[in-house]
Amino acid sequence: MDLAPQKLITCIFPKGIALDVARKLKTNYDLMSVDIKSARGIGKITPLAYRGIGSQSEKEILTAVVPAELSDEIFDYIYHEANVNRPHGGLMYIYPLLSATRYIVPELPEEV
Amino acid sequence: MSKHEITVLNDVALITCVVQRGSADDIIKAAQEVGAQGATIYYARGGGVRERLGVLGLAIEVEKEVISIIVATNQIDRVFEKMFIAGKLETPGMGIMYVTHLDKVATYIPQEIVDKLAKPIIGNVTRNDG
Repeated sequence: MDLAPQKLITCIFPKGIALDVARKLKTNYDLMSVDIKSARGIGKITPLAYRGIGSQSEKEILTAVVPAELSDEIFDYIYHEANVNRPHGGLMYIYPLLSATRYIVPELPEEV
Repeated sequence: MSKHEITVLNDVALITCVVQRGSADDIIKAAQEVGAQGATIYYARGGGVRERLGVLGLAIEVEKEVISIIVATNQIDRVFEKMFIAGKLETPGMGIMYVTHLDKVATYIPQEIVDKLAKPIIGNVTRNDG
């Protein structure tokens, strides 16, 4: 069993970005361990703060298990592809996993 | 490839709290009162202790809300305790909560805040050339 060191990158994006990033990760880094789930986000500095808990907005959470040796490169790649560096652009974080299985797609014949 | 600069935050942790559906807003409000900036919530289905408590497991909601809150390491205990109390997590079946240390966090940080933080607290903000 291949239990090489891996890290988990989690990204919280505004709705509509995650699928495109996931596709690019698959194409450019051969990453198969990418998941997307829907969520809602609550902020503090919002115009609707008077309602009690601030405004809410739809979010997408993208998680990717990546090889540790490539983690910084992939982290930077996602940061730029998703344009995180803008107001309300989301956030992303990374932490090491104690162990994780590595999913490798078997060799399959080309579809005709 | 052009050279980009990423400002990342170190010394941060992720608090994850799994509670029954409908409880998240009160817990987040409590966390914000002691300094948490925001939260992300998603929905899940949970089992386990539910089957052991109440009649036919009806006492505990099977639908869960999972709360993620990122805080600075010096805020962990304060926010964690406040969330624990707000969520009544000392009661069996109400939920669980845990803290994960993060390697780094990247998000939009206005330049004036980066400048302000980088001078007196070296080590809290790091810049990576990618």
